Amino acid sequence: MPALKKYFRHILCAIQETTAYRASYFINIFSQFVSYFAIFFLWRAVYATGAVIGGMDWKDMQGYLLISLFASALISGSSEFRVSRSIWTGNIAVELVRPVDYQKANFAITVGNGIAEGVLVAAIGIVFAVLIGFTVPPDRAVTWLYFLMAVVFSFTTKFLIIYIFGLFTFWTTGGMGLSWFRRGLTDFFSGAIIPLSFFPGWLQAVSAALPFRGIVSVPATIFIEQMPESQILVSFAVEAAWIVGLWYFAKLIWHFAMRKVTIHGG
Amino acid sequence: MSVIETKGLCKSFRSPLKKPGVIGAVQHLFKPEHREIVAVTDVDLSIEAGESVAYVGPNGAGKSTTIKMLTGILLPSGGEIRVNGLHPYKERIRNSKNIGVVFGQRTQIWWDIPVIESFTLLRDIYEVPAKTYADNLAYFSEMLGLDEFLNQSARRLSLGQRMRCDLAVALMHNPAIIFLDEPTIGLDVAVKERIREFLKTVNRERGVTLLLTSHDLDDIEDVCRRLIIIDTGRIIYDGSIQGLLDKYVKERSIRIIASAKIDRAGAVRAMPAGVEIASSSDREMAVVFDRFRYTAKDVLEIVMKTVDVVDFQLEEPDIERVVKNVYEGRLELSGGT
Repeated sequence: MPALKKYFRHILCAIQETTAYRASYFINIFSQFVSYFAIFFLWRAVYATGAVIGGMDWKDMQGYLLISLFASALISGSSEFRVSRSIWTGNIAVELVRPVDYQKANFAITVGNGIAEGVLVAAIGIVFAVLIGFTVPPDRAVTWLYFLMAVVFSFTTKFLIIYIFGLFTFWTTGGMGLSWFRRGLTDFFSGAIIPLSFFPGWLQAVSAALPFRGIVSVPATIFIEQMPESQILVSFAVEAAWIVGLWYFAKLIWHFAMRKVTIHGG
Repeated sequence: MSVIETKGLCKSFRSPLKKPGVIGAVQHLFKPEHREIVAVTDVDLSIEAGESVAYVGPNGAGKSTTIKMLTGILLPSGGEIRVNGLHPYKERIRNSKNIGVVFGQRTQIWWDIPVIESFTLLRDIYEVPAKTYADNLAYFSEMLGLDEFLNQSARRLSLGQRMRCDLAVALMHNPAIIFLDEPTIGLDVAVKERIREFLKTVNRERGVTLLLTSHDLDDIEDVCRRLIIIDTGRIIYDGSIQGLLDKYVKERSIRIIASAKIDRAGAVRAMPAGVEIASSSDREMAVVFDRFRYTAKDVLEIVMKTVDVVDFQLEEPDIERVVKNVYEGRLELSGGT
């Protein structure tokens, strides 16, 4: 399959690229932990009375936060701005003269970055879990399987959302505002800040109708074994449908965006 | 067979029209106004396989826009376009397999990984067979001297080294055509010469069609046989370099150094029609003459009657002067040959 080989090679190059700057690689990952420490201690204070909130006790919450950290770290800064940076610097020109599908190539690069960062984040996550005394990882093999699948869905969904927002740079020429908006939406509706089960009913309905919940809420809830099997399968089906829909939506945006390409000079 | 063929090719952009100052910027936020900018209009090109063509024009003339349409980055607003028989925008991926592109101001090489890894990536992207890749890598490494930095990351390379890598990358998949947009911009003389030599060789030995834009007219005279000049989006000359000189450069000039102070008034009187003293200082002067009426020998003889010449230097008509005149609007070209 030579057609796949070229995208596989993108993954390999992206892994090398991510690890090229050792200091920035470690600082990047460390920074994720700092903000999660803050959230961790906030929730610890909330749970100090030993309450059960939204069906979750403190142990559940610890597991939820771990997975939230992991899912967020899988796609970090470098992937966030790749598309918008290449659009406003005009470097996209170079990428367009090659026989590659821009969307697939970008996905491959994001996978490469994700592997390079995700492996380390997972390793540190385990250390972190030991430090906080978190001791109840899922013991059923099938839960781990579901969890891994959920991570793949989470990654793909998040990539597509970032990619689509990146393409909007063709119209706005600046990527910063879009990125903040994108981050706000994702953090809120994915359950990264507050688990979705804490939301009032109507807001839960809204988040259920959006693709974001697959990014954090679904894998985290599967991990703490609070999602029944039937619901897991329904969630996966919905997420798969979202991924297919977003994939073609991104293609459509790309189609219109390409007509907007104006690379002056150089 | 024409490998590049365009007819009535046009491209216009919509550009935001902002009134000056903060008020203008705020107005634009709520009620944006745009105007059409015509970058390229009515361009007819017909380039045969194996040609080496220079595409020249002042900044903003439409050179890069044309290249971007031919490479499939931009969608033309009008006209016909064919590259190797394909529509470069609508069949972008198929077209990109047959072409190589070098943008002097951008790079194809990944910034943070060793150069050789970028080469491998591009090998896989273009699906270059292992044998072809190995042969080409050896060939380009030798011609461009890549060996010394293949294992360094691109950000450590000098501009000249980076450009040599980009040239190798653009040709790795044996494209039929290579587009070069200002390939020698910012490079020193030695690297420029190396690159020109390389381009001439691949054009001659491999029959690769070259289309290059440059502001360095030495590039053009050295590498290209055919010249196309574009100004304000329109082609104003298409023909051989010699043809342009014959048609538009009537004058040659001789720089004279005399043994004593030159009597300028006397010298001016001594010159026949068609020979003029363009400038003179104490012991130096420049004589400009109509090269179709006089030979350099004629002129020297005339000069030597009034001035004691110790040294002279003949300046050949060069394309630089013609192009400069065109750019400055002092010369109107009327069609090609």
